Amino acid sequence: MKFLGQTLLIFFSLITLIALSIAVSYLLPYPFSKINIVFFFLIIVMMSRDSGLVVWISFFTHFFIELYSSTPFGLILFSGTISILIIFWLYKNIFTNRSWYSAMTLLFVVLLVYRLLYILILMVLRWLDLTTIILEKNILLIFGWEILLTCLLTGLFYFILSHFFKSFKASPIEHGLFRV
Amino acid sequence: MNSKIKTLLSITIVIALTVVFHFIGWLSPVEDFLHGLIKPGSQTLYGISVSMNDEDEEFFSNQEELEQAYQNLKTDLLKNKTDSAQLELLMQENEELKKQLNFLEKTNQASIGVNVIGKNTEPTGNTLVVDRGKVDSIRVGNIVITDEGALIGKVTSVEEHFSIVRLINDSQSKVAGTIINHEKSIGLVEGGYGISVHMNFIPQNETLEIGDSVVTSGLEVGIPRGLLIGKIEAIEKEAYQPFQKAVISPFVNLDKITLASIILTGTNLN
Repeated sequence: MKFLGQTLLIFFSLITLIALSIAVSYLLPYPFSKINIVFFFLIIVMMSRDSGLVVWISFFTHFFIELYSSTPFGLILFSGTISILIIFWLYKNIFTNRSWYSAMTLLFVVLLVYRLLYILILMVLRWLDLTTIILEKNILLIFGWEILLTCLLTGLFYFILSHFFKSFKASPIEHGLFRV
Repeated sequence: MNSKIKTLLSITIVIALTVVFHFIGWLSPVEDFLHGLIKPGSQTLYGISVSMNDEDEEFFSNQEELEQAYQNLKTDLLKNKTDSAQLELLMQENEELKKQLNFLEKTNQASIGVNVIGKNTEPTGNTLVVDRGKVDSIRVGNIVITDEGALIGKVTSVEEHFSIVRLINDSQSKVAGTIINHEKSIGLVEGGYGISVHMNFIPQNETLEIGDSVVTSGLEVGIPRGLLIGKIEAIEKEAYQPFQKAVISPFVNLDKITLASIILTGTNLN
């Protein structure tokens, strides 16, 4: 019963996250509409729960997003899930410090990896003639705004949360960006 | 390190299987269920975003500006009435000529109204999500128009209960067009230029004027002739180039579409 309750809670949390992501994209003016709420949420959850479940949350969230996308199916799913997996490993082994600047760094790296994988796979699909999507000239500017604004939001949010919740606070031995 | 490689491989396999199941169609019930969950919220949010970004409001700082705008509108209205009358005459003449040539039109066109329930959240495309799909006989390639007969895009992907429409200003959109000028110049209307579209491959020697209307040429299968696309805002002409190009602003504000019609061709209804 407890497991069922937790599963339902996670499911409806995912729905809420998707709705929030859509709301930000539709309602906010450019460039704020480019804030990546999904990765913002995933990084916050990863740093508070220390659990690999975040990879599967990323999988299901990006599966939802694929339904509203005109890119070849699997592009967003693969890029999103693998980038979170990589950043989870980095968090567990290198960026072990739980602080607002660590959150910003992780967010920066995960979005960078996500968009690099995205562009790389798109280029491969174009080379294989499996898609005709052309990347517009201002795509790097759009990705830049996405990374900048999402990083700032994550850092600010984490900073505020760390003052109210213990799970977001770094212990004295964790002070320092890298694990020695 | 081995465990990391195993984890990466297992996740990649799960993703690959998901993609395969999607293309086979095994995930359709799940996708439809998820879409049904998100659809009410998405449609509401899209409707709010359309009403929020109302750029049609104009503000006048004094009475002279208002009077000038009114005079300009009167002039435009008169011109439109004249064009409409000429168009009517041309249509009558065309019908007569067709009858004289015993021209048989095989049209089996029906259309279906759709609601726009969302749009693409990724920056790599300009697409809309509509609430009709395979069960409503929608097929990939069907064209999408507004009630006034303006072309807004083509269906690019169809699921059971929803479809994705690629707008004419999407970078992958290409439509054969004709300019309503003396030479009836033809060219290719392409997107990927922001809110406007470009008409390329117009012969260099043909005369274009700013304000000329552009319609579909009918040279493409499945796209009838005469659907409105836009009007010419600027002309780019280089003396040493074989072709000239025109910058076209669509008649329809592609950011504010909430209702549309999809033209079902004969193959849809079989």
